[in-house]
Amino acid sequence: MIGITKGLMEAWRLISTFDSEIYGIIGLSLIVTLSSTVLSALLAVPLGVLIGSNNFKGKNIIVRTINTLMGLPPVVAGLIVYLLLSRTGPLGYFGLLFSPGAMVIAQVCIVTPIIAGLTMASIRLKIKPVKETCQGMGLSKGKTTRLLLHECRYPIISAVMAGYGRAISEVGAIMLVGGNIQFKTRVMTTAIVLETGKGNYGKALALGIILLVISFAINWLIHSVQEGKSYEGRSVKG
Amino acid sequence: MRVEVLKAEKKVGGRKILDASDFTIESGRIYAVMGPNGAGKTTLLRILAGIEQSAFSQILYDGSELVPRDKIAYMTQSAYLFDTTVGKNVLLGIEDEGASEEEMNRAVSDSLRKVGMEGFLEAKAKSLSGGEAQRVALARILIMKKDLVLLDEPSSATDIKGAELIEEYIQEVNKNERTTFVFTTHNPSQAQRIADEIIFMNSGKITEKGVPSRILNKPENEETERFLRNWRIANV
Repeated sequence: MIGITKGLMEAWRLISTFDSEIYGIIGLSLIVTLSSTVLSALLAVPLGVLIGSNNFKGKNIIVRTINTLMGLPPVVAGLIVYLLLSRTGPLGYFGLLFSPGAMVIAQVCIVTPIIAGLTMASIRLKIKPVKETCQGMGLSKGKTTRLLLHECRYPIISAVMAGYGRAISEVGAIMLVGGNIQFKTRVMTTAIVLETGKGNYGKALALGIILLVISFAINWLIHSVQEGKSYEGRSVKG
Repeated sequence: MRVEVLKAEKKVGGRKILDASDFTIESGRIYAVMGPNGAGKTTLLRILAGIEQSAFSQILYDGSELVPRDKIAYMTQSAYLFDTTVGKNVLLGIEDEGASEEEMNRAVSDSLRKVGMEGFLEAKAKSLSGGEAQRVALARILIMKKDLVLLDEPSSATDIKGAELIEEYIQEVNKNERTTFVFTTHNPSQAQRIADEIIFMNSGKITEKGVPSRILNKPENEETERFLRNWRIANV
């Protein structure tokens, strides 16, 4: 209990004194996690919709692969990205290893299957009634897709949120490909690991509390957006 | 629209669930498809709508083998409404037709009034009961003014008053627009009230077809007789 109180006080001191290192770590954490989540969503949502709403040869293998990758251990993803980006690797030419770019790439590998898998599952639940209703009304494929996305908007946003949750809490992959370099690639999770290792429990706990608050604030924001949105069609007046 | 069914066949897992042939849906008439559960009524409607694909079927729509999707409307048994207002759900059927906003709003209000849902224009569709949703779904289908309308148990979830409104609306559209209707029902009284002809099905086959007075009073087929026995005892 004393440790938690001390941690809270340390967190307040670090935030209120505008500790430049802490703010740098928070800023980089947000940039990396939000970038990787946005990029993953841009890849995964269309992929999930495409797979979930169509039947084709080899679909089962793709679905099972995505489901398997949803549980991909971050260190394994980190290791693969590390090998690809290392100087002797196929993408070593770009010199991305130990940079925020490498951290984003590693997180995209972890988050994309999560968003794609959850999007796919939500689409599969709605596709039959939506498709049959639209076919029955003779609506175009474009309009059917738009209505399908509208019907699945909450689960899709939840899928993106789940992806973001994984990104902000992830430590193994970004530690490997980012290297936890001070003022360059150190983010909240890697800093917590480092400070705990050094015995600075107060600072580690402070970062943990800030991490939780940021996570809560972003979730709150996304929920507000979700609740405020509705079908953007023509209005009907009686 | 005149529909000639030369052959309508559907197999699932090697078992024939529909094997109907040589019957005609005449333009501007109302047909009730009746029969026990699993008789193939829904499959027949889905094949006529072009939603169910069947390589073994041969159907002519006004003489053409191409399914004129833009002239056919099909309503599923479990009415699905989109997660928006009731008004916008009905509007979906006509919003791309290029009519003025005023015309569309009037059409939506009229259509909802005919199914007794005029007070629900701004209500959330997901807040409706099953029967109310079914009435809205019917309003959404009938506002589109298609040539052939296929309805799978259109009043299965509604109360007596709701069913009456649905029947009146179907008859009105049939009379004014010369729309051809094919609907499935388990209610012989409903078929008697609004259908010009009854198509009776059993085990995927059409066992009888004719005017309601004949089918309901003097069924020729043993299965039809058995299916209608209790209703006939109470009504004939």
